[in-house]
Amino acid sequence: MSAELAQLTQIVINGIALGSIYALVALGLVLAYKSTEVLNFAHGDLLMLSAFVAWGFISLAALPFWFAFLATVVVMATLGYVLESQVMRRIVGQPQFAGVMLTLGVAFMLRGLVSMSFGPQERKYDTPFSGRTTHLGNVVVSDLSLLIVAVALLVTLLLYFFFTRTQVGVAIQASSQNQLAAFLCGIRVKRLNSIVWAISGALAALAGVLLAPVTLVDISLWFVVLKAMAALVLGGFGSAPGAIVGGLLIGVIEQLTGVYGPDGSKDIVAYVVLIAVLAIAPHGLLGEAHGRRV
Amino acid sequence: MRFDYNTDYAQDRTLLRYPVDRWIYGLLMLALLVVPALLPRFYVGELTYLFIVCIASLGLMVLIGYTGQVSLGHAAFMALGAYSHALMLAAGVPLVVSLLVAALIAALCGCLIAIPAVRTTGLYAAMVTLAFSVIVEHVAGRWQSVTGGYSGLSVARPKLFGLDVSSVTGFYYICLAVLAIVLVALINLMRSRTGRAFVAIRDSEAAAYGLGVNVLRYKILAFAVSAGVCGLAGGLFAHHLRHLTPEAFNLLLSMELVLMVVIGGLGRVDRVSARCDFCIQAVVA
Repeated sequence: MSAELAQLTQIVINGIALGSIYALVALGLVLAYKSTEVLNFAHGDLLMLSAFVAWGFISLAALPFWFAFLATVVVMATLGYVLESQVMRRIVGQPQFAGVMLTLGVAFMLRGLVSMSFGPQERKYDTPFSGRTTHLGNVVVSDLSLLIVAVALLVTLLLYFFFTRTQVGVAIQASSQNQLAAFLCGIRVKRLNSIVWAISGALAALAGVLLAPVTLVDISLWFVVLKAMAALVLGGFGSAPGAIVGGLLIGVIEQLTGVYGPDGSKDIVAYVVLIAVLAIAPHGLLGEAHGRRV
Repeated sequence: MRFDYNTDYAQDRTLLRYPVDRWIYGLLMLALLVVPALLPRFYVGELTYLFIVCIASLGLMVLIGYTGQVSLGHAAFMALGAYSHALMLAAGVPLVVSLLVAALIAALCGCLIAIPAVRTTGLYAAMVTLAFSVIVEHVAGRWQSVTGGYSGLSVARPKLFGLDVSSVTGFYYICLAVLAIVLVALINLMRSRTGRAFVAIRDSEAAAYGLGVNVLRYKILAFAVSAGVCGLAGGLFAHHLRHLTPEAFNLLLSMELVLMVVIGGLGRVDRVSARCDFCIQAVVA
């Protein structure tokens, strides 16, 4: 393998690892959106909060990594459940703007809460995979990236089976297609919506716990949600496979522009993609037909 | 409690219909005119800031309150206005011309950003404006040769017709005048054909379309007007800051604007200025 090809492969693999995170975040967004018609602007802050929670479990409570990982996911899933059942449910039937404002409000509260209780300094925690690398031919991959890809893959498969093979999963699909019809079939729509938000919270936690060792445990982690939105739009809004494809693509595009693009373009390329896709092909790659969902 | 009882359209369109309205607004204007003579300098400066934010939130009100389009990135238009105003002042353009051109530049960008934003549902507008805001902040930080990057860009002192108005009081009156002009202009816009088209789009896009309103054109127009007004506010904000940095125009400012508009009451131009900003300001300051 020539050196240039090796470099390209390296970049693409890094992009896929980063993109897996975006895909997880976008998946969390799209699930919540499909069940409750609310685009959760607080999703990034749930992710950020989960990084801090994981840091607390690992550094303060000195729990082993995997246990802390699971505990964080459980905590955030509970938070997602409570958020839906206690807060979001109050604005059902209101215009979309209400959902935007409410989730933004929650986002600011979470951000304020974290910055008040943890302070502005950055933190980090170690995983059993930090600092280790694996050689695949000429290409060097950090074990953390492999872990991220593996977890993302596993979670996606699990969710796929959950939504197609289990009774609860199929019920969730039904209620996201038509709430009234699902309700008349005896499906407990309200509880399912809460469960979906719990799943969404768990996905935020997964992404947060995996992302924090790569970057730092910091309040600015919430920014990931904006990139996930770019992923959503690129993949096609409201489509779960689209969210995954879009996430991976955004990750790869970002890494490629980081190396080959002009200085500083890496930070904004995701947003440029978002605007360009909406201007040129608003349906995205795998999007469903847009229409007013009544 | 007073009920509006209209016998013709002219009554519906009058600005100040009852004598009590005239008294209230007259007294308010008078009070704002004499305030700098009575209050300490610090409060006059704070009031000036409040006027600037008022202008910006009026601009946003056109979009959110009247046309029903969500924007989470209006600080970006303020940034555009502020930077272009500062650069033009440095190049020797007179203040009034520079302010107007800054507003125009922001309005043009508003038009451009409206094209992807209004394609489908309201959520897209929210996401596009959010993304646009992040892009503007990054570009302002990175394009050092023009914007001075994160180290900042200093703004020339305001001069009006050769007169130095950089004193706290002088600048206060300028902002007050601009606020009054914008307020009257927007109220007039809203009772015109265009304003009614905006409201129709907000209430029901399909119905507006059915009645012959060119929905796409009016949505883009609403974006342009609102971005232009925000650009104007940005130009004034540049003088208030004296030193422009990208952080001054971050997402937080956009969110504050949205909050002001929502708390002030959607679709109430007169209330947004009078009531909510004072509350927000009281909390912030």
